[in-house]
Amino acid sequence: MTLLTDPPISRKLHAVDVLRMSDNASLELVNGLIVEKNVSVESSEVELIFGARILAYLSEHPVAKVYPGTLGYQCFPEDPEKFRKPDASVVLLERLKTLPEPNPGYMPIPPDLAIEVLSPNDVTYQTDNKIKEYFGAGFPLIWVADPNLRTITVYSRNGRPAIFTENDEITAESALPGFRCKVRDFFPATVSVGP
Amino acid sequence: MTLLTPPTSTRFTPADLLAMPDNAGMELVDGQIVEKEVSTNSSEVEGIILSVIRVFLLTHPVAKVFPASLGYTCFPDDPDKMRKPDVTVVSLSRLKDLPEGDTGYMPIVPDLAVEVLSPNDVIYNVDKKIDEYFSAGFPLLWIADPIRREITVHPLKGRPVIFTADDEITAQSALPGFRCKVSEFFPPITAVAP
Repeated sequence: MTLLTDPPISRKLHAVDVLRMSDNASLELVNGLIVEKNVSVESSEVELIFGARILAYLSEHPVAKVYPGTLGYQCFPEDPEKFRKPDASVVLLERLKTLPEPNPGYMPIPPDLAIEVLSPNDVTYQTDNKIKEYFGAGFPLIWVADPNLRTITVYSRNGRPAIFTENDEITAESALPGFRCKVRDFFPATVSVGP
Repeated sequence: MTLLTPPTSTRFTPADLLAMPDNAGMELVDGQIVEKEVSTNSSEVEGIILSVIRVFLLTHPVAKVFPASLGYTCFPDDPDKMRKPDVTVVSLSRLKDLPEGDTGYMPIVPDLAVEVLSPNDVIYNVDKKIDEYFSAGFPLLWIADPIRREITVHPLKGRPVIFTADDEITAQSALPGFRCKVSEFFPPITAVAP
């Protein structure tokens, strides 16, 4: 998380201000301040693989929609202007039907599954705090994918956190009924890129 | 991990570091001095874990427990590498096998190494340290997270498991008979200045 407005400005921005900016794909808004998500080549690839695997499942089982990291969620009661952009997220169709308007700029309800993919500059405490924020807003299920260790840590509001390693099979509980996938299938084949 | 010296062609050795006056939070990687990340909170947790294990060892003298001032020089890939896990345990039976004389560093791997996360720890650096420790043959690692009040146990052989505040944790063969509630490793939840 990098603070983009430096020094912090006194006027707090609103979610709609960021929506009107041209290059807002990786920006989030916290306490009225714009923060930029950490990214990397590898985490970007993994984000897309998550989206693709889930999309492939949904083409056969149309129970939900899956969104990439460009979609902001403005659903944090303690900070109404705050929006966050999980790297991938899933919302059930039945819940999408309840939205007051069909195509809002930000999603006003928590996703049924939020996925965060770690990147090389992510700091442990910030990830911890994001999980806390998500649970505070009522997110039921969070996956934190670590491309380095090739693991997915599952944080479920009603259960205990668990680490799934490469050969484990993972489900998305009620976010994607019937979905199963080997953890390793979410990560690129181990081909080294660059030095 | 902060690089304290601009990368130079000079490679420091563990002996060089030992001769420096203020070397408590310093490690040596690729001949370069790096400083460990620390914080008030993580230092407190280190102290608690150390003392809980110390109390157990008073009645069960099977091992020694060491604070983060002890460096380990036990990395086959880099004989001059020296790391200082936040808390470590080495069994007495293995300490007996050490060659005579105190070199200043521990030349064998600990039976248990504990790392406590601090606010500036980058996840990939923690991952990398776990890889390093396993490559050197560390049998058991605990990663303590003061924010989530959890301990993730990484055994060399086996899968990582997260223990939450109400769970009881053991240290397997590093401390036979040891059991402790995870919440006892963390300070009581009281607000401290932000």
